[in-house]
Amino acid sequence: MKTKTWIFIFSLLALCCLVLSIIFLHCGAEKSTALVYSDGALIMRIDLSKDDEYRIDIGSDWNLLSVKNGKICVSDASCPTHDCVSSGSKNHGAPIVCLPNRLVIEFEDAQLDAISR
Amino acid sequence: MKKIALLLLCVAVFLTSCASDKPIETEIFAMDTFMQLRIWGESEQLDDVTELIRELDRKLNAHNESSEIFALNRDKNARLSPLALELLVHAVEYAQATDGAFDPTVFPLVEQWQSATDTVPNPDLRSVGYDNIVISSADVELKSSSSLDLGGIAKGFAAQKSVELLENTGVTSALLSLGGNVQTLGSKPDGTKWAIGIADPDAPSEHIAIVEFEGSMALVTSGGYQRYYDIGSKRYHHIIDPKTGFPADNELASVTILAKNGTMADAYSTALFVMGLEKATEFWEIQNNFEAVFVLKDGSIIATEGAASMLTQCEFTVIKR
Repeated sequence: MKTKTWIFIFSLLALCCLVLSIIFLHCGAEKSTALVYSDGALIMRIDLSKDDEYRIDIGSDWNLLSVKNGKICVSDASCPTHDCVSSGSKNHGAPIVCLPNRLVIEFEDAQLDAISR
Repeated sequence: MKKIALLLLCVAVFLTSCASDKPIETEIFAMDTFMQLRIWGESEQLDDVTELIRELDRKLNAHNESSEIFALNRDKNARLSPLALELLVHAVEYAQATDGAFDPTVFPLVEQWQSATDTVPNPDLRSVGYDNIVISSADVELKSSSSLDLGGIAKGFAAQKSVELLENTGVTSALLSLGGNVQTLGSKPDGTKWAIGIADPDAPSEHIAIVEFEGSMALVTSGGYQRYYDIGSKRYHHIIDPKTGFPADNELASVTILAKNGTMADAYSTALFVMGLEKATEFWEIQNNFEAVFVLKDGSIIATEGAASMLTQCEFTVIKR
């Protein structure tokens, strides 16, 4: 093949890399998503734009998650303290944590790396 | 044409390298709290840190019957492992430095408050005092029936040891949040500053200010909003003043310590909260190894001059030396 053809192929490949890189770089910037972890493992990604309810069963224990008006809360749970229920409805900031059931709801927060508390 | 191709290649390679430079993360439950570990490194390095934290939890938890601290509290003397001993030596050092505002021997008081349901306890201060801890080589003796609770410093120590472990294995960037004790290692690979929120005492899942900085630092906050004792119809916060036996009661809603050393930051955040603003300020003035952000009960924020240069998104007053 001629040199120009090689340059064309080379440029095309480079352009593809460029486009793919931009896509990958921005794929983490999705907002209004809650990440649900059970004992440290990601078990669910919840789109907060859709009102819905989700029951998470962890052995004999459970948490009931409710999504409404772009926010998520633990509306009921089998844990004794109900600290997770008291955390209220959220769509950003510090995670909602149910220590007894080892359940965590996190938010993709573009502004902060962490909160000292 | 060749120049354009070369330019495109360079840009593509740069962006591809950025896209692949993502951290690995894990979330664990240890030390009675939830922890988030994020490192720019290998999964084995993350596993090592996780195991270190779990080991410290096993050794240091005063409520765990198989822990070294439980055995020491029960028998009043014990030979400690190097890690547990290192932490205890630090705890005594910071207790001395803060004139007992931080004191690891408050355990009996904490238990008194924890077990109270209807009436406020009458604090028994006889066994409280860090001078009851006698350390001789690896052997530790507790005098006057003292008992230890290293919970006020253990998370900070765990964060500090984790960062040291990561650094020793070649990791250059990491972010650890051990139940809200935040510690960074190195700078963020994307070139931006770390942005760490300070919890709003009136709404702890939100932030009242943001600290922006580059490099390694520990940020530890103590506040009267974190844990409570509900006694009768009244609620009392969990930070006990070792000198009175009652929850610290002053104008402070929270204290955030910014320091290179996570163990020290953890101890000092508790100590300065107990001291109150005036004494805490005097203490900061004679030290040169930490900065602080005070949130008062009226919502106002006071920052030491070093912290002020990193604070954003809030109004505050600056304290100068």
